[in-house]
Amino acid sequence: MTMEELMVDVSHMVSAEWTKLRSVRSNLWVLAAIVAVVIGLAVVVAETRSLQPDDTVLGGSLTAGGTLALLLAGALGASHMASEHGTGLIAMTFAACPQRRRVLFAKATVIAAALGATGLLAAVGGTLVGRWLLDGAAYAPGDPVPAVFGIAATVALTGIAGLAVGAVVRHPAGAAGTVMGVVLLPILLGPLTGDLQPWVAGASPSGVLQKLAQSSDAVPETVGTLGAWPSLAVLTGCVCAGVVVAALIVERRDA
Amino acid sequence: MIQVRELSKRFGSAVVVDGVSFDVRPGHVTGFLGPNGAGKTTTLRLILGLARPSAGSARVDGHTYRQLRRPLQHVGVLLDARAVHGGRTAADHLRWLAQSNGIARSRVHEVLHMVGLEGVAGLRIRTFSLGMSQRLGVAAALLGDPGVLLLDEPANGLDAEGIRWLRTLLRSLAAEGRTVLVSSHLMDEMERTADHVVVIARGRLVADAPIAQLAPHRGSLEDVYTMMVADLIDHHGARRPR
Repeated sequence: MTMEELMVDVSHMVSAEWTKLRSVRSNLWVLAAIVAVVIGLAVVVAETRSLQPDDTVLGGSLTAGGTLALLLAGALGASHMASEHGTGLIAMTFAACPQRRRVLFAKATVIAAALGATGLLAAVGGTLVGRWLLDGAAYAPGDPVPAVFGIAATVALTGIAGLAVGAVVRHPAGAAGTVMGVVLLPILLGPLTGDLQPWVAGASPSGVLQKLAQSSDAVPETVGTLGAWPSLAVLTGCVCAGVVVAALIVERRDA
Repeated sequence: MIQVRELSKRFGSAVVVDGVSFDVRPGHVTGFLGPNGAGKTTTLRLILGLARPSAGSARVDGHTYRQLRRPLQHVGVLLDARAVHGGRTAADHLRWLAQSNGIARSRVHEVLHMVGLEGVAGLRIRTFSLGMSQRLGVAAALLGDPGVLLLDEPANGLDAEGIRWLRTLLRSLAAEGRTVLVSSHLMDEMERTADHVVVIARGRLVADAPIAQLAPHRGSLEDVYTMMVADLIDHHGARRPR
């Protein structure tokens, strides 16, 4: 097969996965919910003035809703893969495309595109709403650019992580639960790990979000001294490694 | 043309398919028969590369399934009509399948028309009866205008009219020179539809012969089949331990 033929076949699979993603109504609801929780919690935080004195407007507006958005993104990724195992549709998918790594690649592409765009919309919306409601309050504004792009990338990466988990775990509820653990446990259980806490929580999706949003939660004791963008790079590396492991398992296993 | 050679599949200590060899030739409807748990579905999954054989091989038109570029344009597949996402519409289900194999979008409505589902194209699949799901599964199999069709129990859940429609469809597909392998447990229907039968029981090939040779008289296939598998199966129909 020539390179052009390969590109054509891969693009066919990407459009097929795009159709799958957009043709299930609940997927669209999850994407809408991501925008809604980020903007909604930005409103709640601003109206209740529940920011720390040293918080930035950006951090206050995006950290709470952003963490919920990460949970939704992970669940969407997990369900996009695991629901096919739950229904048995995966047999048809692999019959249509026996190159299973290509299926994973196509799914990751559409999940990343949908969640990246949605995450950006949510981050920009939350930022604007927070700035408007906290106009004149005594908080540092924080730098939204390029932070909102990093937050969008974090949302997309969490979705891809969910996809990899879904490919390995295969049970929809089990996969969604596992990826929620990946998002939340480093923050919840980090304090129990003592000196290791910055390593455990520093490059977790929620830790990266706190750093990018310049939240007052992002102190070195909890999420380490590694900067926001290097932490995002570490997260990217971890997610890529997870996808490679998932691809190896999916390729070997009977569908 | 499907060529199955010494195909085996074991799951742990259980041998589900045990050294099975047969050919499925074009221009005929070949019935694939066997009791529950005989290994029919596993054999079909091995042909499609969904499971890896423990030994042996299966080829479609001389290639393993994984070697086929745009496989749905070579092989039409119906495995489990209920294994679909109920939240998707029938048209969207066929649309992603068409896109995945570079099949023209216009085929979606052509195959929906062929199976009589054009009126419900926009309905979510979870609202479908089992018979409608089977028709959708047949539509999906026909989407790529394939030369080979592999259909696992396509008659399940079809009403009398549906079974008659399916029989006519399968016979006309074979008459066009396609290779048609169809599994079923309905002997009477198989006798009317198939030209050739392959019988497996407990993972082993029991018979591979033209139907006219196996069951020369109308209605005799069921008796012949029962005799063939009887000594492999106890009277409860359960598998005997080896």
